[in-house]
Amino acid sequence: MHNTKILIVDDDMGMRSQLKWSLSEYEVITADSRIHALELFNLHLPSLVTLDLGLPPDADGTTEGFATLDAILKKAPHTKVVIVSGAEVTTNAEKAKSQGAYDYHPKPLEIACLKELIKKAFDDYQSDSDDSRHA
Amino acid sequence: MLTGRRDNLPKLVLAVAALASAIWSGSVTYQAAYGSTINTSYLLESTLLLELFRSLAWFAFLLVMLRTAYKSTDQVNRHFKIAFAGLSVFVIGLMLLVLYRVSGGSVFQFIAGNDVLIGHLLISIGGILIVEQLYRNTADEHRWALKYLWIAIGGMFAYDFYLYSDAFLFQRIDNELWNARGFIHAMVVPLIAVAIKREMQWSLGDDSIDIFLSRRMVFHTTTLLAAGAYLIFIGFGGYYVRDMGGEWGVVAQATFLFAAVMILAILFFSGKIRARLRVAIDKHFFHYKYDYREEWLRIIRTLSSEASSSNSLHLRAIRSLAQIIDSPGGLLMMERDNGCFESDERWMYPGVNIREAADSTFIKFLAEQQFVINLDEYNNDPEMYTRLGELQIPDWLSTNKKAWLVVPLMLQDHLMGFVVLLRSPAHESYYNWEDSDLLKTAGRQTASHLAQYEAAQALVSAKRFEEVNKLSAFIVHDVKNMVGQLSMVVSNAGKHKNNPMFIDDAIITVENSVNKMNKLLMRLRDGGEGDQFSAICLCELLEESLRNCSKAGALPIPVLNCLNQNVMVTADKDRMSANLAHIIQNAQDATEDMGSITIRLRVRGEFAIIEVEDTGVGMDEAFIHDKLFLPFESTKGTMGIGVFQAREYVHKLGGQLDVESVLGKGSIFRLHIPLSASQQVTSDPQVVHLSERKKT
Repeated sequence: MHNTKILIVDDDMGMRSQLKWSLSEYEVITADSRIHALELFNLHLPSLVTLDLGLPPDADGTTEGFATLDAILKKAPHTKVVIVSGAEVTTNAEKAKSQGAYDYHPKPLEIACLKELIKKAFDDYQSDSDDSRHA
Repeated sequence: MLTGRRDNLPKLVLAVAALASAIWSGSVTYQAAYGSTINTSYLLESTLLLELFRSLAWFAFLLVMLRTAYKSTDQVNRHFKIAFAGLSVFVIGLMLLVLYRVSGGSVFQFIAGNDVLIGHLLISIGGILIVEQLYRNTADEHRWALKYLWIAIGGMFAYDFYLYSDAFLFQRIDNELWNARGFIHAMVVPLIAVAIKREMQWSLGDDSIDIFLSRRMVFHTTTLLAAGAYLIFIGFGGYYVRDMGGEWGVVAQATFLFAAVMILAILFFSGKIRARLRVAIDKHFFHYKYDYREEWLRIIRTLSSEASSSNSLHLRAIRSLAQIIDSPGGLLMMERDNGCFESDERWMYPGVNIREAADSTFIKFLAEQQFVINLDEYNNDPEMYTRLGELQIPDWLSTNKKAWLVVPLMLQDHLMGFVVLLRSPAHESYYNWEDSDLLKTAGRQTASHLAQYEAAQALVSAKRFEEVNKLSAFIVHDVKNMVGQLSMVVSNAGKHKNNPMFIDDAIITVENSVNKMNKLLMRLRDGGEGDQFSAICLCELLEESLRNCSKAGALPIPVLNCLNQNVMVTADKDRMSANLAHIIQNAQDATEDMGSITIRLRVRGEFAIIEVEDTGVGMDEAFIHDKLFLPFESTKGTMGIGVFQAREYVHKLGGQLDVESVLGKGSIFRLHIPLSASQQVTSDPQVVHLSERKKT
């Protein structure tokens, strides 16, 4: 059985803590910046990451979020990264998916939807690694 | 209009003409002094030939001047050549005739021969005609100089005309008139001198002088009529003079008469007198009713005069049109967004608000025909208008008996409004095409002023709207996030409400939301960014940025060099730090891992200067100029809003952001940020430029 660790990356403290409680069935780690997120990622190697695109120092933009996405997928390409962002959806969702993100969930988030998405992502992660084991 | 060589031609010909006149005068004097004692027929001969040569030279000068008044096309040039050749043949023929006649008899006998006299008469009339043509075609700005020249030459010819018409009438040359010619020519010389002094450039006006056939015809007829009337007058005068007799009496009378004519001519040509007698003379003697230069200056002056609440542009627009025809009031109707025309502004115009539908025949007629509607003309003869298109004057206009003219305000081909002008008692009776043309053109001018004003207004409101839009987008985003968090608190509470740790977190979350809402409220109140300005120590801030940077693990790791330690600026710490991080990250992206990045902090004058220097790929001039500071443009090919944002922020602080870069060598981003007011700094280390960089 693989780990059920989720890394939540969001610069909003309220969002981090409430997501943590919502996803209490998983093992949740939280980070508030790219640097912090990459440190924790290297330490815990979670299967799933929820990632906010607007991170400091570019809290109103998306550069930090995309940089984090790249760095994570470089380190562990099978990681399921779910983007949870309030940034403009159309272009950013497409871009995120083309860069290897698992899915895109716009803010404000519907926690039920997100939970479904996360569940599905874990299942996919599971079957991916099963495939690779069988291969 | 004239090329260099041509420029000198009039002067050259004038010099020749003056020289010919001088030689001729000399010979006349000589002949007058010694002619009776020495029988010198060859001298007489040469005098008469010289007179003809003098006339020819003046004609040449006049023709050269006249040519400058016309557009210099090949055809015109050919016409002038033909005219000059014809004239030369005529004058030379006359010279031969003189030679033939002079073979016997005294000057007064032979000159009394009708054929020679008629030749002289024709020359003088031709001279007067050309001078008149020239005067009419002289641009206003040249008139004040050239009018003296025209008066002088015209005077010479006029006197010749008088002399020869007198001789023709009485079949003899009047000895006194002949002798008075010397005084006359002496009088004329100062006038020519004045003209030469005043006018350095011998041309008549602008590139495009339009000469209408009709106008020319009118001038010719006027001159010929005047010449005929003058002949009759001289006839009677001649009999009277002959009856009275007296040797010097006639000389004095002729001189006096000539002087009187000249004074009259000067008065007639004078600007002031012309202005005074404008209404009367304009109608009969001058080709235009208006001084267009004056009118135009006045329109522009009125339109661009200082705006105030009691003197809005729309009011000035009405006045600028009304003043042209001394209209006592007017009404401005402007097109609204719904296409209707509504009364916008009124100036001494009674009545209530008026609306005119866009599809009425009246509006359609104005938009299509684009000319001024004269309501009197329409009432007298509606056919005049309706044959151009359907036209029904609306009730609100036809019931107003004071309304007189409707001037369309055309912007390109679009009718953006119109002005109704009230009846002007002074101009009513002789309104013509000139008034309507001027009003129409002035209407266009006014329309473009109004359009410019409306565009500026629209821009201001669009900017405000955009600001509000930005702010509301931002607020909606934040409020949505807060709603999301708080509803998560509620849903989580169902499961975790008994967990004290959850309660703690929930309280923190709520507190966080409260803070955010306070910030939002503040931002709404200020209408701007919710920056919190404080004094920041740049050196500390940079050190902190670098620590974060090295934590992130990107290469190359920047080297910090604080040349001044205690540099304080007033800014929002988070935004300052974010913008610095952007620039550092940009430098890292542009530089290979083995390259180097140096950050320097120094103080120069009242500014703190942060330099971020890299040894990366660099950027070319075109990229820096056209693309670097646009949002979403970068060498990395990713969304680059960073540099744009950084520059915006630095500008907001009252500083500036320079970029220096050499392709393949590297770049320096230099931020100039105003120091906190309290800070006084003395030292001033040199700024390093790329070209002087020492490789280490």
